Amino acid sequence: MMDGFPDVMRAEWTKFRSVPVYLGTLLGAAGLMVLFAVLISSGSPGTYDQAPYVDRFRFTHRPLTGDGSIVARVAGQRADHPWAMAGVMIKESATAGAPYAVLAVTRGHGIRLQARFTTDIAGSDHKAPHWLKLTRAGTVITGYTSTDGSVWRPVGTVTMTGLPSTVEMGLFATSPGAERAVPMRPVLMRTRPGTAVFDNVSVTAPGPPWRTDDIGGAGSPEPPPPLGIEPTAVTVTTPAGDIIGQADDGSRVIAAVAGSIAGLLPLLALGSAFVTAEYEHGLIRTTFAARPGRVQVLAAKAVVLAATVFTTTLVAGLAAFLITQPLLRLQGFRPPTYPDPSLADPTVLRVLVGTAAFLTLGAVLALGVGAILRHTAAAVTTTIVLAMAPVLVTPMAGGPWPQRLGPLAGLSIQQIKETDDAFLLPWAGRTWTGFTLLCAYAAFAFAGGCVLMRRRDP
Amino acid sequence: MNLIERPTAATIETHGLRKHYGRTLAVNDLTFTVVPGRVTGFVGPNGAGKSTTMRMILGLDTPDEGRALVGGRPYRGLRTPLRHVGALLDANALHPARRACDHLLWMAHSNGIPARRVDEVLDQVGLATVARRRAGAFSLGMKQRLGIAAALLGDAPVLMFDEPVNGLDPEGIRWICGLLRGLAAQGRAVLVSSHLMSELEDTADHLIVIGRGRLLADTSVRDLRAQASGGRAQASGGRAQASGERAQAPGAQTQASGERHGLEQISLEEAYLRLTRDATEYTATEDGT
Ligand SMILES: Nc1ncnc2c1ncn2[C@@H]1O[C@H](COP(=O)(O)OP(=O)(O)O)[C@@H](O)[C@H]1O
Ligand SMILES: [Mg+2]
Repeated sequence: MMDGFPDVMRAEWTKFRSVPVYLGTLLGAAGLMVLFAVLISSGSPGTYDQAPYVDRFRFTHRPLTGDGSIVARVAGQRADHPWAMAGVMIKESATAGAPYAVLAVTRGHGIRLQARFTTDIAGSDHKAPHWLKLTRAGTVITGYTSTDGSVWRPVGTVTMTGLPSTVEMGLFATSPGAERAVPMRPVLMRTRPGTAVFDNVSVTAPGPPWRTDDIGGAGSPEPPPPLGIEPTAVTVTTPAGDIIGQADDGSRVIAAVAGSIAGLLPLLALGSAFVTAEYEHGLIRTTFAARPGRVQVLAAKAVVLAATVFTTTLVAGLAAFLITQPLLRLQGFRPPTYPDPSLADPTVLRVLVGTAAFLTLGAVLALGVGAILRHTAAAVTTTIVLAMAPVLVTPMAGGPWPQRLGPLAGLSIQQIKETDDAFLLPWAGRTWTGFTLLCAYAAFAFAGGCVLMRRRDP
Repeated sequence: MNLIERPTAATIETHGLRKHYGRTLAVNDLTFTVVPGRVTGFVGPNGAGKSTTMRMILGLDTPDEGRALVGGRPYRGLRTPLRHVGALLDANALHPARRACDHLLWMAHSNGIPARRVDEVLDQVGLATVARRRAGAFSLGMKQRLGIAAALLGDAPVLMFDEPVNGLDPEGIRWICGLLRGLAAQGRAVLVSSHLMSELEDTADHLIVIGRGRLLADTSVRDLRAQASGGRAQASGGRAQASGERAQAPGAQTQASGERHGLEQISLEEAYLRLTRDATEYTATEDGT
């Protein structure tokens, strides 16, 4: 098998470099990667245009003077986003950006005690229905949860220095949409208004009547339902909204690989054509007459393709990274919120090298499919559909599974700080899972090509 | 030239080759030997199985039965096959965007043949001046020459050409015939296929005639001529048919040959037609139904 392999590789490299459209496609893919990175780095920082936080939700509340507490059972929560919250809140005033502390159930991240856009304490993994209690004692806010309303477990404590004696206390719901997305990545999910149903609501001292406000211009199509003087059951519907502070979400690195898909498509065509063109021009017989070892020939093609694609896209990714840094700083992605990323950072290297590997595996997958189908148009169509179909299906599927199982799952290698699957970034928290899956696809297509090439007359 | 890996015998042997495609039996129990030092013509009507046989010799198509050996060894076992067998199967088998010299260069690399051979063979076939042109811009004649250059690249002792004069002008035909005779005179085994006897009669020393995949005759040209002369009485009857067949052949060549050989030439053509008539007719009716 290895006998004379360098000769075959040399021959395949000569074939590759002597067809201008192959080199053009390769450089075109690299150019697209850089172009997309520059374009996305020249836009505004999206959500955080106006303020370094998003504070937009519906708040049903009443004032609390001095110490006290609020108890409520979240009977049900309906929302799409894993970070959609339903819970109780103490907030300095009913205006966007005012200091706050919340205790909430989420769709996908359990119980959370959060404060002032910076603190995030994880509680148990419970979802609704669940009991929540938030107490104020001076500047100390403590959260408790309970499954039955009688046995309470503390979640954590936050200290809010400078909290005035009278604060707003009440119930809220969020339903994050675009604002949760990293600016460099499109969102995966369509978002519906989030609804939270509360019962067993009680507050320590009776006081002025409850009122409902749309904080930060959350704007609801439905007017808030009228509330009784001392309601115990409340439904809060938020059309869209989130409570989140601006933080380093990896944008400074992700921008460099924003052209991954744009670069992938021509490389899929290149990978397929590198073998199918030989069938279409009848050259495959010349090739196999010169080297009867068919697996050896396909392996040499794979090595030449992989080496050229990897080198080119790695250089393109590095160039895009370096070019986009000053652009991103100009657009507001700068320290202290967005520290300058370094090429020595293993995460940065993983994203850049991993992206080149992702594109390389895509090209090898396409080569395998080309060897199986032996027809350029058929192979290119198949690989592109294989890659892109999950992207189209996922928003309709009501879950990230199509995205997780397709070849693009390999983009998981680009994860930085994601907590949830994003549009082009599945397997959040499992960096290597999707990438391994893509390796398997490429290996499978290559092996299939080898088997069929050996079995069939060219 | 690098002769280190030359097989001891410059021969092609086939033993009971059989190959079918779907319901078509392309080659049926075909056994013959091609020996060095002469041009062996491989003739038979279109669809007789010549190209299929050559592909099996080159290890491209796997025979259903039987085997083919080159210099006593199966082709697929050769480490650097281009140094053992030079072959032209299809002159159009080129990437149109690739320069002629690069086409030969990758072939050279694949068999560890020094790159200077590329210039040598391009010179030999008269393409030195257009070496850097893209193959897509070549005329059929230039492509045939490039295909022949590829066959010569490895300086192989065994050479095979599938319909090399197809579509060439008379001057090109004369050039190829001279080249083939020269290669045979150097002691190489040369197998040339054609569906027209007229294209080979001046070039070939020996003939392997096949029809419907079967061996019809394995004979020297002289013997076939002699055999045909015996049946001269029927020659005039077959003449119309013969000229009809030859309408596809380049006129100049046919006329020149006619003047040289007179009646004998017609007889050779006639002998070939008689040999292959059954096969042709059978194919025709098979196609018709
Ligand atoms: N790859 C193939 N697939 C199907 N049929 C084929 C194939 N190659 C050849 N044939 C058939 O086999 C027969 C012999 O063809 P071929 O070897 O090309 O004949 P020749 O070269 O003598 O004209 C023909 O009937 C042809 O149609
Ligand atoms: Mg043929």
